[in-house]
Amino acid sequence: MAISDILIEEAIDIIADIQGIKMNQDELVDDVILVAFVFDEESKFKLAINQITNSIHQIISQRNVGQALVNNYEGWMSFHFQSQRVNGHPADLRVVYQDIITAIRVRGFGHRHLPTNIYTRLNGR
Amino acid sequence: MKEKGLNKMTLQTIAEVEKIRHGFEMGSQVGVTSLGRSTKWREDLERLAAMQIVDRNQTTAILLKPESFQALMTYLDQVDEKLEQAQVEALFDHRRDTTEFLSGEELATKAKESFRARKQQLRGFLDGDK
Repeated sequence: MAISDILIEEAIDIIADIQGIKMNQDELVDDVILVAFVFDEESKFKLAINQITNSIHQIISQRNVGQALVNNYEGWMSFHFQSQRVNGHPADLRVVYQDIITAIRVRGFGHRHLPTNIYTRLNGR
Repeated sequence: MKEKGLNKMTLQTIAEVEKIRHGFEMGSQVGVTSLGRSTKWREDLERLAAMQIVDRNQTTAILLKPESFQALMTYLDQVDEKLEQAQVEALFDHRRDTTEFLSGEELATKAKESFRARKQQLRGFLDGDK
């Protein structure tokens, strides 16, 4: 059972409502859709969105969480965490962000192992 | 991705992992009962890096030198980092032209407008494109 439009809009609202993030509107939609693509059961989708929300809150309050990206991505960080709170579950989700002092700028979030052409497939081009 | 990671995979690591990847050599089987009775398997293991533990002609376990196991873990970490790098590069590459970053109510409203405007395409991706 695919994730409903209502649930997708709820997830958009939940993440947009986090105080202290900046994100592009189209990319927020794309990332929520990709989470729905990977976690196509309602309960798992909700859990994953919940874990993403918690992690973004953690980043905003602590900053400098996760690994610093190098080379062309100086100043960006990638934070990995679990989609399900189960012992031994792999850290299968990530948030890529930049600390811009007044807020964190989110480049993207979602499952860590997606096909690299997924963004093209998502937008049909 | 992590700078220190790039230095971790030495030629020694690669050599150890390659030994395992090439499969088992002749004489790499050791009976489960011989493990306790004899110490010859220790010399064999040192040479072979990996051995099959055999119980009634069935391979029941694989024995690795600690160095080989460590090399394998390092190798997997390294491959994982490369995969991570490719994924993050794909993300940045696709979003390189984005300049608008919003927050709060404005982000929520515009994101939902974006979703509704692209709903047919996105639903098609979710419902059909598995």
